[in-house]
Order: sequence, then C-alpha cells, then structure tokens
Amino acid sequence: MTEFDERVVAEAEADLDRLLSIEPSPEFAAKVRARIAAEPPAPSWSWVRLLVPVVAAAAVFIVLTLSNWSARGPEQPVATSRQDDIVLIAAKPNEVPAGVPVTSRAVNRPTIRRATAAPPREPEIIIDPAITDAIRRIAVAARSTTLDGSKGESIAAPNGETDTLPVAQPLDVPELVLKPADQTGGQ
Amino acid sequence: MNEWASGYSGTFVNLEEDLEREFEGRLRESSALAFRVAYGVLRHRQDAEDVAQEAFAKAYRSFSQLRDRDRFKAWLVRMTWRLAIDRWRSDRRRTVREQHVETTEVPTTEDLALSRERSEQLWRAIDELPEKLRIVIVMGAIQGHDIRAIAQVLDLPEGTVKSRLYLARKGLAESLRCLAPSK
Repeated sequence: MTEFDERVVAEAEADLDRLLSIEPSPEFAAKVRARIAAEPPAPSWSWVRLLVPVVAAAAVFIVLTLSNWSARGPEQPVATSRQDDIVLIAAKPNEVPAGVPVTSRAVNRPTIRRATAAPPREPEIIIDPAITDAIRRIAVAARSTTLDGSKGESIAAPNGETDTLPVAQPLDVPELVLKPADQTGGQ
Repeated sequence: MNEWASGYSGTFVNLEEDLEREFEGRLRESSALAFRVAYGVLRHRQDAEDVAQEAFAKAYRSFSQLRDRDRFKAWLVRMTWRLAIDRWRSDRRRTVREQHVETTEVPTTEDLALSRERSEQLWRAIDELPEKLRIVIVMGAIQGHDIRAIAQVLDLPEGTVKSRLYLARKGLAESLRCLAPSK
C-alpha cells in the first residue's frame, strides 16, 4: 500500500470507530430479560439424557420378551400332543355323558395344559379289563378260602420238621440184568 | 430421604441462581459488544438491538452447557454476527438505514451532509469485502484495533487476524482511493 492508501484507510478506520462507538438503549437489558421470560421453557436436557437410555432399555426388553414368546409359542402343542393322547384315552371316556358330542379340540385343550404343567411320567400300561377282573377274583378267593389241615391242605410245614431237610437215602435200585432173548419166541 | 431430597433440590436451586447471576453479569458487560457487532452489519439501531437481544436470548438457553465461560464473548460475537448477517440478507431491500454518525457534538448541516456521504461510502466499501475480512475490520473498530483482543473474540490465531486485517485494509483502500481528496 502506498502512503496515500494508508492515509485513506486510516481516515476510514477513524470514521468506522466513530460510527461504531454507540451504546444500546438503556432498556436493552430489560428487553433481553423480558424476551427470555416470554419464551417457553426449553426442555430440560438433563432429564432427556436420563430418559433416552431408560426408554431404549425398555424397548430392548419388550422386543426380547416378544421374540422369545413368539419363538416358543408354536412348539408347545407339538411337544405335548403325543403324551396327551395317552392320558385322555385312558382317563376321560367314562366321564363324558352319553349323547354329548366330544370334539377333538375340546378334548385336547385341557390336556395340553395338564401335560405342560405335570412333570414327565412313565407311559401308562393298559391291561385288559377281563384280565384285571380275573386277577381280582383270584385274590378275593385266596383271601376268603380256609385250608383244611386234615386233608393235608397246608402250605405250612408240620411242627418239628421245619428247619431240617430230610436226608436223602441212597436209592435201592436192583441191578438190571440183561438176559438173552428167547430164541424160540416164547413157544 | 427427605433431607437428601431437600438438599438435592436446594443444590439445584443454588445452581440455577448461580447461573442466573453469572448470566446477568455477562449481559451487563457484553450488551454494548453484541449491539455494536449487530450494528456493524445492519446499520440500523432498532434492528441491531433486536438482533442483539435475540442473540442474548439464545445464549441464555445454552448458557448452562457452555463449558469454557471465558469464551463467552467469542461465542456471543459469533452468534450475533450470524444472526445479523441472516437479518441483513433477508432485508436486502431495506431502503432506510441509519447512516449518520452519532456524536456528542451538535454538528452543522454541512458537516452532517458531508459525514453522511462519507459514511455511506465507507459502509459500501465494507460491504464489498468478503465476510471473513469484513468481520475483522468491524471487530478492529469495536476492540480498539488490539490484535490480541480481536483474535480472542473471533477465536482466531493472531497471525490470521493480522493477515486478514492487512487484506481488508487493502480492499478498503482500493474502494475508497478514488473518492478521497488527493494531496
């Protein structure tokens, strides 16, 4: 810059200094306060910062719970259906009054609940009612029947011979002699 | 529990009161600065006050988050400058602007006319400068041409301020050379 330029700039800067040496009005600070008071309160960022992780954690928990529930849901009937059939067929038919239609859905629904709640157990053995009846009759007859000792009907050993077993005597077997056969044929 | 809660809320109240008190101090000491920065762009007293008030309101909203309080002035100047530039750009068609020099002396009519013409030329020359040179020359006038103070307020290295000031002066000289009375 030339000396003339420097003088021009110095004059310009002096003018600018004067132009900018102004003060705001005396009400300036009061107007700022009024403007701040008139503004709606800003949301508290400290609370927002706290709220964000809480909401995120809750969302993750809900998503995990729902996904577990939906993943486990369809497996339940498949896992319990076979066992339930055995229970129902053995236990329920006599309880259903005659004439009332029993649908497979109505039968299956309670057994699914019972099967899932009950601990695993061994499969039930089905015995023919006729055999059961026969065994029962034998047992009743055995209990009510009295044995007649005079006729030798005793299952207990006689007194005095309880513990000792009879000593085995050598058998007296006559010697077997083979004789030549009669040539004449018995004539 | 209640003691703890009352103590905790009491701390909050104290914190808010401390912040309010500190902001009040900042408002008192920086009102003129913000107003002059806005006036340096808008050259209209009412608009400049409005923009400076808006800048203070914004500063108040974020004041608690300002970690380095020593940089409040730089923060406020930057905010005020941006708001003023936005206002200036949106009010390009404004026809009436304050161009007269406010002095304590009572000027004559001739002086007034002359100074008005000079100031109009000066503002026109400043408006022609790129924005980063413009803010340096305006801040130089506000801060008494103290390089360190300008650098602090604009958050720039002193070397950058010096080079930008040189370029701004050169640009002003080019614009005003033909208008200045020759020797």
